[in-house]
Amino acid sequence: MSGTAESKPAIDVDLINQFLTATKTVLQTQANVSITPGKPYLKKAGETIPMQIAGVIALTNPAFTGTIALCLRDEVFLNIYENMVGEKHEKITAELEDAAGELLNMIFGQVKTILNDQKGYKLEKALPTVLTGEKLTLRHRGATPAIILPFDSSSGVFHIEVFIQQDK
Amino acid sequence: MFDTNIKVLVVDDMLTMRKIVSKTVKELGFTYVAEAADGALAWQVLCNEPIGIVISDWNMPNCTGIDLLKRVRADDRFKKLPFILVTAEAEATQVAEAVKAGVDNYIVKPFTPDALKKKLAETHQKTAARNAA
Repeated sequence: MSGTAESKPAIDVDLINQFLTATKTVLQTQANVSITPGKPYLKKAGETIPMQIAGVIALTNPAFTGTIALCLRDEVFLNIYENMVGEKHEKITAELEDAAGELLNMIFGQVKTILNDQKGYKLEKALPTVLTGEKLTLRHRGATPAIILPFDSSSGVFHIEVFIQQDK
Repeated sequence: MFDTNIKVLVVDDMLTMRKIVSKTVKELGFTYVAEAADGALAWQVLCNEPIGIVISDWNMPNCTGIDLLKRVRADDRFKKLPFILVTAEAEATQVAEAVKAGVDNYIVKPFTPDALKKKLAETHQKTAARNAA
């Protein structure tokens, strides 16, 4: 790494790569879901990607703030849940929702461990929040667009949204 | 390996993880599994039921896994109780804090059933040797 986290640009390729790797590891290990990452891209203004459930974690670090969100359509989430827990459900209920937060928590934990121990970041601990809704959308307020990390998987397509604001 | 007739206490604020850990533990042959959603509730279970091993998440609201571990180790009734911490993070400082607090083993999420089985076997060896000394 050249320089410290404090001098990093808002969009950090290394950080994005860590999220790609961690997502693949977590879904494969905990849910036995095979994953193929797509090409990351910047979210366009007004772009909406269909989803019914999202786990969200705040990113807090001396150099930036932001969020990471794991966004899934209901059928993809339910298929992953079945692989994880061994229970088949027809719709998302309050009892199932925390799985989206837990999967994201594991992804964030892997990324946080590597970035803090090996790359000089100081990401703080955070608990996930889960959002659900038929027409769920995430809107970010800031100068930089969110980065979409698309994934294809044996359970269907889903994506991660990374929003970073270098505001400190 | 532990006697599968002991009662396992699984502590996690996430219902999904409690289900995964409890299911895995039962698949490994353990008959009796209790669950608690945070460290404070786990303490109530510990004080009222004969628990043989604790498998606790670290990052929980109210009373965290490390707070529960410290409370357990400070109490004469439980200071030799096998205790495994489960966490999504494995930073060096965090591992050091858990060891200092008296954790017997540490498992990083995500994990497979085989990984949990291996950690339980390691923990049994370690705590049997410690408690015999």
